Order: sequence, then C-alpha cells, then structure tokens
Amino acid sequence: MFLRILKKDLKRKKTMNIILLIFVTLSAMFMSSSVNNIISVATGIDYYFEKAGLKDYFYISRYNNGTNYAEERLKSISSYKEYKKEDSVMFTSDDLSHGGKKLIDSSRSSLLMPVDNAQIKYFDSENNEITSVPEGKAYITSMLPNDAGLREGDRICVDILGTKIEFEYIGKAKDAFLGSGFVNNPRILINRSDYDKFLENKQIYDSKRAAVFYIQTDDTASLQEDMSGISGIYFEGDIGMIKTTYIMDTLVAAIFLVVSFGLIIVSLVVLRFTIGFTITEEFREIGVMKALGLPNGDIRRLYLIKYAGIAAAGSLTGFILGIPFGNMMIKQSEKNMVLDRENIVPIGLACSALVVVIILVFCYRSTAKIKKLSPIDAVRDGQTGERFSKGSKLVLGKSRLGLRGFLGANDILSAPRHYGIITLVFTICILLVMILATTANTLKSDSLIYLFGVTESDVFLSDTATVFDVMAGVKTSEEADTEIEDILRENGMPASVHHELWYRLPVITDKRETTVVFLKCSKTKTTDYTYTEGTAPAAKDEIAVTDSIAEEIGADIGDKVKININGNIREYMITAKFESMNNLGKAARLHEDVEIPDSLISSSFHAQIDFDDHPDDDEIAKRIEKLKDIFDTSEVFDKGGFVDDCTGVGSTIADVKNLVLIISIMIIIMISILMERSFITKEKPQIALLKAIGFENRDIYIYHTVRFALTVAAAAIIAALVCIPMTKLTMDPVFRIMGATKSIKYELKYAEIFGFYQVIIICSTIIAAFMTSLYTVKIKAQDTASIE
Amino acid sequence: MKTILQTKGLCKTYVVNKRQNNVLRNIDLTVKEGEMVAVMGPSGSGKSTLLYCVSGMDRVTSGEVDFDGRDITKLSDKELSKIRLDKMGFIFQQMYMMKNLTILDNIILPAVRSGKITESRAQTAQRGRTLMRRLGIDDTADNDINEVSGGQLQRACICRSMINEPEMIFADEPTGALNRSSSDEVMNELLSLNRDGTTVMCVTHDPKVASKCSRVIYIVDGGIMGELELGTFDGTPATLREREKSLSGWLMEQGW
Repeated sequence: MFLRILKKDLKRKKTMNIILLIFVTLSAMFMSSSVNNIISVATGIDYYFEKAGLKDYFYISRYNNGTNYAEERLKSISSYKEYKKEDSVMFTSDDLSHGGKKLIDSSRSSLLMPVDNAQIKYFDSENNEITSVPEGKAYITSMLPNDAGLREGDRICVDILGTKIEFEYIGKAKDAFLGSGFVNNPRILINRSDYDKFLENKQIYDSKRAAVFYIQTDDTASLQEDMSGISGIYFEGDIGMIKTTYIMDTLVAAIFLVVSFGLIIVSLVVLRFTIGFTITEEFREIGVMKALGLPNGDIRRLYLIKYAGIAAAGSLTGFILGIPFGNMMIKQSEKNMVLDRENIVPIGLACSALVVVIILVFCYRSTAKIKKLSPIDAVRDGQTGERFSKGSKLVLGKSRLGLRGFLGANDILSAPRHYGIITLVFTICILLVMILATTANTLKSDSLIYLFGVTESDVFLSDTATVFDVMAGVKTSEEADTEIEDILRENGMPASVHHELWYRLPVITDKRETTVVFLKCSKTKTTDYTYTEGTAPAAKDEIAVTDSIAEEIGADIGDKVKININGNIREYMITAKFESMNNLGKAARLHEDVEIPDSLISSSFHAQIDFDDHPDDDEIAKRIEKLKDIFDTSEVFDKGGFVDDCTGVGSTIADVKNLVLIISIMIIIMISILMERSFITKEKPQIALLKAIGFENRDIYIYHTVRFALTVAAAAIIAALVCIPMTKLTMDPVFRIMGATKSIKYELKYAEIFGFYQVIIICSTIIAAFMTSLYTVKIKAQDTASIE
Repeated sequence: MKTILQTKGLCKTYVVNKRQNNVLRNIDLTVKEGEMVAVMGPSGSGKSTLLYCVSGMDRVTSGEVDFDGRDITKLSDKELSKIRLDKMGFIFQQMYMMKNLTILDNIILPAVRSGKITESRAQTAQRGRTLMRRLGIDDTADNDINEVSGGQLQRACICRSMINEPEMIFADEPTGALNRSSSDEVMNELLSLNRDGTTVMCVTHDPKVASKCSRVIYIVDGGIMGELELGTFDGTPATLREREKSLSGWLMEQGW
C-alpha cells in the first residue's frame, strides 16, 4: 500500500517533486565539484612540486667567460646533498618573432633549453610529462603563449645574436620553477640538436649561457652563507619562496575556494529550505493519515522513503553534472599548475552520498513534527489556533504602499525565515561578484603602486634590453636614462627619466650572512617612499627593510648590519620598515647617495618617465600611445597598468569574476524560478481567490515579482554594506602573503560595484521571477471550486 | 423589476481524455434585481459550473450571459475582472482568504484594489469595520484567519463580498462547511443583504437554506428541470416551516 501511496504522491505532486529533484541535483553538483576543487587547491602546490620533482634551493647563474661561478662555488662547499644543473641560453622578447613581427613585448628574461637535459618534469596542457621534443618544434612555458595568442602549429622564429631557427609551436608547457603567474619567466623547450645550433654561435656561447641549479639540502641557511657574494647570479630562492610565487595562481584558486564554500552554503541552505517547504505542504495529508489512524512511524517512513528516492536520483545526476562543472571552475587555476584530479570520482560520489544523508537528516528532523501534528491539521492546513503565530505584519488600512507592493512586502515580513534564506543566498552570490570585482580592480589600479617600491610617475616604460646592456657594461644606468630623455625631447615630450635599480648584496649580521635584494634610485629621495615604521633613511649609512627581511636577518629598527658592496663591507643602520610586493616582500632600500657600480645591478623596474609639463591623465594616455610607436613596444603603462603588469593577475581575476558573475546569475535565476514556481503551487488557492474577486493577471504577476524584487534588493543592500569588511576578511590574507603586511586600500569603483553588478543581478532576478509568475495565468478564478 | 442577469442557450462543455462532457445544456435563465435565487440539484448536475459561468469566472462554450446589460461572454479577462471586482460579490464553500492578512485586511482588499468608492484607506478600513459590526464579528478584525471559527470566517467572507457594494452576490454552498447554527447565522445575513436590495444567487444542497430564497431552480444533467417560486421570506419560523414543506414536496417531484 505504501508503494501505491508513494506512486500517487510522486504523480500528483509532480511539480513540487521535480523542483525538489532539481534542487537536490544542484546541491549535489555544487557540493561534489566544490569539495573536489577545495581538495585539489589545498593540496595543489605541494602535489605539483612533488610531481615536478623540485628540490630545496635554486639558483640561476650566467656564465662569465665560460665559467659559471655558482657551479664553481658549489663544487667547493658541502652544505648540500646534491645538485642538478640545466644549461640554457638566455634571450629576451626582442629575439622572438612570429610572421615577421615581434611575437610579444615582455620585460621578462627568458631561457632556451634542450628538453633532454631537463632536471625537473615539465608537463603539457593535458598534464602529461614532456620527455622529448621533435627537431624543429618547441613547447613554451609561462603565460607567454596565452599573452601572445599563440596557437598550436604557429611558426615562431628565435633569433639570438644572428643564429636564427624557426620552430613550430606545439603547445604550452607547465614549468613548476619559473612558470608561475608571478615569476612568469618563459622557457622554450627544444630538441638537443636545435639547441646545439645556437651554441655553435661563439657569441651566444660566451655571453648568453646560463644554468639553473636545483639543489637538495637540509641546511638552507648554511648554503646561503656558503653561496653569498657570487657574481653572475640572477636569481636565488628556496622552495618556500617558489611556493609563494604561485600566490597569484593560488589567489585564483583561493577565489574558487571562496566561491566553492559559497556554493556549498547555498546548496545546504536551499536544501533545508526546500525540504522544510515541501514537508509543510504535506501537513494536510499527514493530518488525514493520522485521522485515519496510521501510526506516526508509518507516516514518517512513507516520507523518508519518498525523499530518499528523490535524493538518490538527484544526487546521482548532480554527481555526473558536477564533474564538468568542477573542471570548468578549476580550469583557471590549472593554467600554470598540475592539480590533483585523480580522485574526483570517489570524492564526488562521497559528496553525493553526503547530500543524500543530509537530506535524510533534514527530512527526519522535519518529519519529527509529525508526532505533534493532529488530525485538525488536515482541516487547518498545518496550523492549529493554539500554536499559530501572528501571520500579518503590516496593516493594509494604515499602509501607504501600493496594494501589490503591500501584499509582497507583507508576505516577506510574514514569512521572515523563508525569505531570509532566499536573501542569504542572493547576498552570498552578490558578495562573491563584488569581492572579486573589487580585487580585480585593486590589482589593476594605482592604489597599490607604493607596494612595488617605486615612486609615482607619469609613465612606465619596459626596456629589458637596456637593463641587460647596463648589466653587461655596454652603457651606464645614467646613460640609459639620458638616452630615453633625449628621444623624448626629440619627440616634443621633455621629461626626466629614472630607473629603480635592484642590487643583490650580501648582508652580514651577528647571526648569519645572507643575500638581500636592495632597491635604489639615485634620482629620487628615500623620503619619496612610504614606510610603515620608523623614519626614511636620511644618510648614506642608513637603510630600510621589509618585515620579511628584518625577520630573515634577525634585525630590527635601530640595529646595525654589515653590507658587502663590491668587497667594501660597511655598517648600516636600519631606520625604517616598509611594505613591498617586490621579491614577495623580501627587499630593502638604500639611501640615494650610496655609490654602487652598475655591474652589481641584478635587475630593474621599468623606466619611469615624469614629463616636465605635468600633463593631465588624458594627455598621458595620448602620450602613452605615441611612446608605444616611438619605442616599438606595447609595454608602456600608466600607474594602474604598471601595477597590473607587475602582478599579472588582474586580468585573470577579472576573467574569474566574469565566470563567477555568470554562475551567480544562473544560481539566482534558478532559485528565483524554482522558488516562485514552488510559491505558485503552494499559493494556488490564494491566486484563484484573488482572480475570483476581481484581481487581474497583471496584479498577480506584479505582486509575486515584488516579493523577489524586494528580496534581491535587500540582498543587494546587505551585500553593499558588508562588501568592504568581507573583501578585507577574505582578501587581506592573500595580499599579506604577497608582502602587503598592512591592510591595503581597495579600489572601489562605486558605479561598477554598487551599480552595474547590482543592477544586472537585480534585473536578472526580477525578470526570472516575472517570467515564472506568468505561469499563474493558468490558474483560473473557477479553480476556487476545485482546490483541495 | 429590472433584469440583472439573463442567459440564453448557455452551454458549457469540457473535453476530458477526448471525451466531451456537456456540463450545461442550453440554459435560459433570468434573474431580476432584488431576487434571491437558489440553485439546487444532485452532485455533478452543473450547479457550481452555472454559477461560475454566469459570474464570468469561467468561459461559456456557447450562448449569451447578460449581466447588468452587457454580454459578459464577449468581454476580455481584464473587463471581466473589473466587473467581478466592482459589481459582483463572491462567497465560497471553502472560506478562502489570504493567509498573511488579518480578517479586516482580507475584507477591504477588493475595495483597495477597486477604488470604486473614492475614500482614503483609513475610511475603507472604517467601512470594513462597520460591515463586520453589522455581521457581529467586529472583535475579530485584527485576528489572523486561523484564529477565528468557521462561522466567523464565512461571515468575514460575506463582508468581503459586500465591501464594494456589489449589485449581485454569488454564493457557492456558503453554508456547506458550517454547522447548523453557523449556517443559520450566515443565511440570515444573506437574507438581510437581499432585503437591503442586493441580488443573491446561491448554490446549495440544503433545502433549509433554499427555502429561505425567493426562487429555487432545479438542475439535472446540465439542464434546468424546474423552477419553484417561493416569494419573499418574511423571516418567521412558521413561514419557514411552510416553505420547507412546500419545497420538499416540489423537490420530491423533481426526483431529489
């Protein structure tokens, strides 16, 4: 008999059962994909590094006259277990072309290497290890293929110092060491015979060769000490630092974590709501069954069986849909990484099973009310006079609201729990979009410029080749600046030019010796920069450091440290601390008057241009376009563009934001449609009554739509109020890892955040609710006669 | 007296599973202003369908329905809604009300929507209270619908049907869900309204209810089988007994 009742129930309450099934499917889909993504992301970097076989410490060192000093030193020390060496040839973006045109403008230095000498594992886009590359073909790592818009099969030409070889691009490779979004130094993986052709060029052999060292050690501090003061080192860092270079990739992944948690909360809330809602619908029948004498246990079992069936069907469908949905979500995070996706099926199944359990628990708890229900509930629709709470909250006779607005507002206030849950779901969706948009805007704005150790300038011009020339002693840094100034003057844009230069200098304290990246610019003053503590270095023997360096060298403001500048060891006092996203927070600043030979320059920021006539932003924008033509590069930025170029993820996060916006809108639309459809089913007698007494269809549409409009408006207001604290709460920790130790100032574009997105979401909700409310046209006035 | 409602060749057909079901067949009916007409008949005879068709709640398959001089079968849904709102009142067996409104707000809801009578909302509410007082339920004005008895709720439904001062009230088994004493109270209110000039058409199974009406129409299989003119009820128990006796005899003749 139970089966017969069940069968009848499923048929008769088809609409509500289908709605419940859809919600269960959505919940299982969100839950399984989100949990999988959370696990993939949480274990992501460790899994990737282990799979790639990264060691503990790394150096990139160039050859000087055939000698690699880093390797020489390694041979003479014992503070490591073993090291592996990858020989490479250095080049810049100027050496790459495609179809006769420069492939890309990039300030990143790049490496060309034979894949047979790979000392770590490189992976293709399908996450398969790359073990060989055919002659004449090439894989490229980092963001370069995406930035240059390369497609498999494209021909790229590598022309280094006259040796020119054309390669067929066969795909993007994932490089655990230098391929992160933050480091983003491209490597071209080629065949050994092609590589040897470059080495046959004596100039390349003598001046362009470099080696990457992967060192296994238990004692990083001793290794750093043993290796300090070596010339020709471009880069050094431990695995911890490399991990932090994935912060931008992790940032994307972390955003998906936030989104995933949001979706899990949404699915649980929606499930709880739907089950509570549908069980309330059953009160009448439960009352009848009790009146007929059926025991509580039997009635409860009946509903548990029904919900278990729906839960099982929905969860299975949700699990299947969750796999492509999860893959779509994680795709952005997998651009530069290999994530652990081996267990998505068992984890997905476990999550789907969990959804079934959760539904049954919800259902069991909800059906506990059966004990309390009496046959009178059959008559009174689940409410007995004794337990009845006040339904109406507004008084029509006193209200100034329009009738349809009054009915909508009164319904919301009369069922605060129901509408509160919908508001919560809407708020989460809106917040996710707002947080991401604010983060993306911040990463593209000039409000973060102080975190990059540069002063504000009108224009930032990327000129890697000039920096290489200075480092190679072809010209001095002064000459490089003057050259650009001359070109600008010739083109009618007189300006002063300066470079923020980087020096890798050994620092000696009582406790240890280590190499620190120092920033210095002889044309600015230390007082031009922002400090978090202390006072700007005022004399040649004063320095400022970041918190991270202070911790690393075990010194604080007022302490003295020794710095070895070109063999000249002198004492310097720490007078201030500052925040920096340079070198992931590991940086220091020298006074502008300190004299250092250009040969010690390890890198430089973009050339900073300050026009003499102080043009406004519009004029600067015009001049940027001119400068792109003059210097034949697209790498000319204003302040915001410079920050975006340094972080490199503003655009990615903007893409993620767009994806999340679409997902949020879809969720909001689906919830609006399903909820409104549920309300229509539940309120059929009231709708029929309103029509019977003379309400028009249009009145019903507006009345029903108003409820969702008010709900989403409330959600939008709540989201706007908590946007800043929630953005700080979720995003400050991420920026902290990047070196911004104090809370950063987020770039709030009011029109976009509080206008554009809110309007899109509110309009989507209203349209979805309105379109669904059109279904009420099927309910006729005469239905008052046939309503159960 | 002026004719307020007249049907000519009214037919209503439902098609269920490709089977044609003629619920109303060629109904010709006339209701004069101030009449109180009871519609009786066995279950499934088409009583309620007739009520819904003549009140514009349901569309007829063929025929004419003139209400207050207009053929409502030719009106749009919007025009029908306007007529139902301003000129008709409805009372149902199930005492449907908006769950989230108080009794008083439910009563004044049609008036606020209609705007037929120019007044402020406070004045509308006051008019609602006056109606409730007249029906003896003014103490339930601020109650929710689940806080009152069935009899009180049905009287509230009568108040709602009266709030726009309609020309005709349609009642579908208004006492069907009530006990005898509540049933009597509700019928007395309808009689009182009728005495004040409101035309009433009432579908009922109950001969006791029908005997209080001025005319009884008996329907079988969608067609009018017969009509009994009872005249205006004076409200005395003796007359009522007489009318009940007369109606019972007539109903027996009709095959009741």
